[in-house]
Amino acid sequence: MSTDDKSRKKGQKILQRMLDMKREMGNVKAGYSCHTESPYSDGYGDAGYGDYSDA
Amino acid sequence: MRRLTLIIKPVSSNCNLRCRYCYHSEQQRMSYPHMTNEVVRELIRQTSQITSKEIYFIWHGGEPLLAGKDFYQGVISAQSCYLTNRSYRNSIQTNGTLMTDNWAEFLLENKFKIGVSLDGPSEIHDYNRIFHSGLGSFSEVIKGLSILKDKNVETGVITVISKKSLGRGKEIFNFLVENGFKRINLSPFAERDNNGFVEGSLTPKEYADFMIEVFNYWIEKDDPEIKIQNLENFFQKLIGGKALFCHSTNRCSSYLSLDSNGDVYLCGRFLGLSDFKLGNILENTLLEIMKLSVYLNIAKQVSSFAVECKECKWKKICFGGCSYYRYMNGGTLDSPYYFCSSIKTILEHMAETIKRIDSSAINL
Repeated sequence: MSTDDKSRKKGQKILQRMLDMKREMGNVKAGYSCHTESPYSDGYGDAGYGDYSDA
Repeated sequence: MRRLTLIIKPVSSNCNLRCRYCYHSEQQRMSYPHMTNEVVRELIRQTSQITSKEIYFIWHGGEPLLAGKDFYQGVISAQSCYLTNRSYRNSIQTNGTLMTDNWAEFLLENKFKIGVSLDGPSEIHDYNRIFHSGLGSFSEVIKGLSILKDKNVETGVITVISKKSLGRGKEIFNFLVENGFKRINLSPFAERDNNGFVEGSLTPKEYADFMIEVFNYWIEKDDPEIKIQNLENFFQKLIGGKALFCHSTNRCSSYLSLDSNGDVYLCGRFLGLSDFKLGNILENTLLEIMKLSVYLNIAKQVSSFAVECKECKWKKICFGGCSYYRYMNGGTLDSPYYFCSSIKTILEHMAETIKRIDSSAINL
């Protein structure tokens, strides 16, 4: 595998999770986390950013 | 409004720590008594009149555990009384030093989400997060975190980034992950007083350099279990997703903060700034306050862009940035965001990296 290929491979798992998260959020209205709050584990898709249930 | 978030300071700015970067003055810390049961009951009664789908109560400080368990028992009791059939959640952001088995059991039993402030390894944490005596709080925080871990409470972490953190992004990242913290909020420190920037404040370039160091390392590790709130927020926006974090919206008006005496302000960062005092819940209800012109004017201002933002290609991602840092930077809510250049640099770098991983993923 070339150096470029190895470099491209890094981050694919994170990108996949981000894409899954985007899809799961789908057409629901977002609720935003507050900057003064820690991210928790109970959020949408276990993302830890609060509940994104439909408004 | 979909969700009303209330950032409540039951002991005002009172705290058992004296962090070097704390934005509360000694005078502020001693200004107000603890919130009374009357005030908190009235607050919860008034929230029942607001038609938001959800209400988030964030118990903040100062150090919110100083309010004592009886206070929070009163909170639970009032919520059970006034918020039947309403969706609400309690979370508490503590420095962790006062955590006991008893506290952990109480918070767990009452479904509080718990966040702890931890700046990284002892040398970094203990430089800024100190007791009155000047001694660092690291070992006490770790004890508190062990108690939470023993009770299987998963804890979120806020890590403040100051000058002391610079060049040590990987070290901080590794420390947090190795200690089991995989949900992390990296919060930049920058504050001004009458003499200019407070010691430890980051420059925009320093913040950008730090976040890029952490981002590169996060990508290199490529562990999808590690969630870094600020970076994921930008990541989502770069791939066409939704904002996750208040800084990337212009909806600060759905965040209100309450001081222990019932004074209401926009967001916790504005607490104590007279221009942003909206009222007092013992004189006007929250519902009345949210109809006052002072509230409506501020809500309008926080949703407007600075002139500099109008042609910016990133404006739909940062929405002009945190309104407090706009105010701090130029004295008005439509001033440019203090970390504007940082965000541009971080976004350019993140976009290039995402393109390298998969050029089709970017969706601006």
